[in-house]
Amino acid sequence: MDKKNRSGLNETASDPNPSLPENQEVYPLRSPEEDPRWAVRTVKIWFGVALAFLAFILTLMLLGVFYD
Amino acid sequence: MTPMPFMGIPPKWIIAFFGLFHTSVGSLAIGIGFIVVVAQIIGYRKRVFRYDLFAKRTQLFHVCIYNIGTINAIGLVFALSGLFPQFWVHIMNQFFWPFVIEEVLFFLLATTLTFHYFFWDKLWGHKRLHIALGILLIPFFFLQIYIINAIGGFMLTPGYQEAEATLRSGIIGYDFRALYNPSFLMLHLHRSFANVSYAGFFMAGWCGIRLYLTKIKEKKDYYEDCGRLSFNIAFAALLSLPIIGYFYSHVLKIDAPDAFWNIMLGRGDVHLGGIDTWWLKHLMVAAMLGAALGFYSRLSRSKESFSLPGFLVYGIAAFYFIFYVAMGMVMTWAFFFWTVVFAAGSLLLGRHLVSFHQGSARALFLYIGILSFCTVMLGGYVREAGRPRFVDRIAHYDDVYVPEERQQYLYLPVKPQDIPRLPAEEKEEDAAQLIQRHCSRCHGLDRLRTYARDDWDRIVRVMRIYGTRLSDREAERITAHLTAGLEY
Repeated sequence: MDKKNRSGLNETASDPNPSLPENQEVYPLRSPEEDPRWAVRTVKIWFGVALAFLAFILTLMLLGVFYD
Repeated sequence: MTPMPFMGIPPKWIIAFFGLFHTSVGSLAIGIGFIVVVAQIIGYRKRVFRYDLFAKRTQLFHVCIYNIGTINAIGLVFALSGLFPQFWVHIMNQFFWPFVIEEVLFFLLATTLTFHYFFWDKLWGHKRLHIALGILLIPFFFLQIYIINAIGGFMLTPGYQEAEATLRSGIIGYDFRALYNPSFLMLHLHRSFANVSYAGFFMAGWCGIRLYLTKIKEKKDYYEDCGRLSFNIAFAALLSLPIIGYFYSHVLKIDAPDAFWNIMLGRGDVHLGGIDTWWLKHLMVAAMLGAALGFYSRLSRSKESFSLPGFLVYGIAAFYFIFYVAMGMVMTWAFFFWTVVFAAGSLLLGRHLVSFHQGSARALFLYIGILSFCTVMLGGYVREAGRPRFVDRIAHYDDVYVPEERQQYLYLPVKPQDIPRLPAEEKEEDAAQLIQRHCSRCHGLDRLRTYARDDWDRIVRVMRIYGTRLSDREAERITAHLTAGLEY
C-alpha cells in the first residue's frame, strides 16, 4: 500500500453519507495535557479496579486447585 | 418421563436455537476483542490512522453485538433452567462458584468495553493507556470462555469418575475434577483460536461487502487494506484448528466414545435433513484453507501489504497436504480424497476471484466469511448433537423429569396434593433388577465394583441426590444387596 492511497480520503458529492474522516494521513496523537482530565482519571481508576478484580479471580482459581 | 412442551416446539430445539444464536454472536464478540486490539496496536506502531479507525469502528460493532450476546445468554439460562430444571440443578451443584465468577467477568467486560470505545477520542494524548485498556479485554474474554468451556466440556466428558470429588465432600458448588474434565483443554484451545479466526474472517467479509457497495477510491483502499489485516489474523488462527481438532477428537475417542462414534458415523441428530453436518463442516474448513492459500499464492509476488512470500504459502500447503494424508490413514481415504478435492477446487476459485476483480479480494473475503460462519454454526451444532441421549443422565438435558402421576395434569389448575397417587406396582422387582435398571441409566455396572462394600449407604444417598429416583424402600434394598456383596 503506497502512502498516497492512505491520504486524502475526502468525501465527494457522490457520497452524501461521509463515513470516513477527511484526513487519514496524520495519526492524530496529541500532548497528554490536551486530554480531558476527568476522562484520564476515570480510565485510570477503572484500570486499577479491573486489574484488582483480575488478580482476585486468578487467585481464586489458583486456590481452587488446592482447596477443592 | 415426558419432555415439557413449549408452545408445541420440542425443548431441545429451543435450546439449539438459543445455543446456536449465542454461539454465532458470542464467538464473534470474543474474537473481535482480539482483532480490535491487534489492529489498534499495528496502527499505533506504524502510525497508520486507518488501522486505528478500523479498530474503532469494529469496536462499535463489538459493543452492539456484546449486548446482544449477553441478553441471548440470559435467554439460554432461562430456557435451560425452565425447560430442564433437573439438568440445571446438577450443573449448579458443581459449577455454582464458576458461574459467580462468570457473572463478575460479564460486568468487567461490559464496563471495559464501553470505556474503551467511548473514551477513544478523549485519550489521544494517552494512547498507550487507551491501548492497555483494550488489551485488558483479552484476559477477561479468555477467562470467560475458560469457564464456559469447562462446563461445555463437562457436558460431553463428565470427568474422572464423574464427580468423584463431590462424592467425597458433598455438594459444594465447585468441583475441581468437573471443571478440569478430560476434554476441557482441547475444547478451550480449539474455541479460543476458532473465535479469532471466525471474527477475523467475518470482519474481512464485512469489508468485502463494503467494497462491493462503494465506488470511492479512498474507501476502496481503506476496506481492502483493513480487510487484509483482518484476514491475515484470521488465517494465522485458522492454521492451528485442524491440528487442535485432531487431538480434541482423540480425547473424545477415549473419554466420550459414544459421542465420538455418533459424530464420526453421523448417527442421531448429527445427520440432519439428509446431510452429515460433521463431514460438511470439514469440507468447508478444507475449502477455507484452499481459498486462503489461493489468495496468498495470487498475491505472493506483489508488494502489497499483508502478502506472504511464495515459499511460505506452498510450505503451508505441503504441510496440510501431509496432515490430511495422515488423517486419511487414521480415518478413511474418502475423507482425505474429498478434503483435498474441496481444498484444491477452492484454491483455484480463490485465485480466480482475485483475478476477476483485478486484485481486489472483495469476493474472496465474502466467500470465506460465509464459510467461516457456517463452520462455526456446524461445529457448535455437531458437538451438542453428538452427545448421547441417556434419559436420566445427569449431564444431559434431552428430557425433563415429570413424575408420572402428574403428567396428565400439567398446565391444569390442580394442586399437587389433589392428584391421585398411582397404585403400587403389582410385582415388586428384586434388588438385582433394581440395580440393573437404575444404575445402568447413567453408567456401566462395572463401576459398582470400584466402591467399597461398607460405603454403599452413603453412595446410594449421593446417587439419589444426583437424580436417581428411588423410593426409600428401594434404596434400602439396593444398599443391603450391595453391602452383602451379592450378584447383580
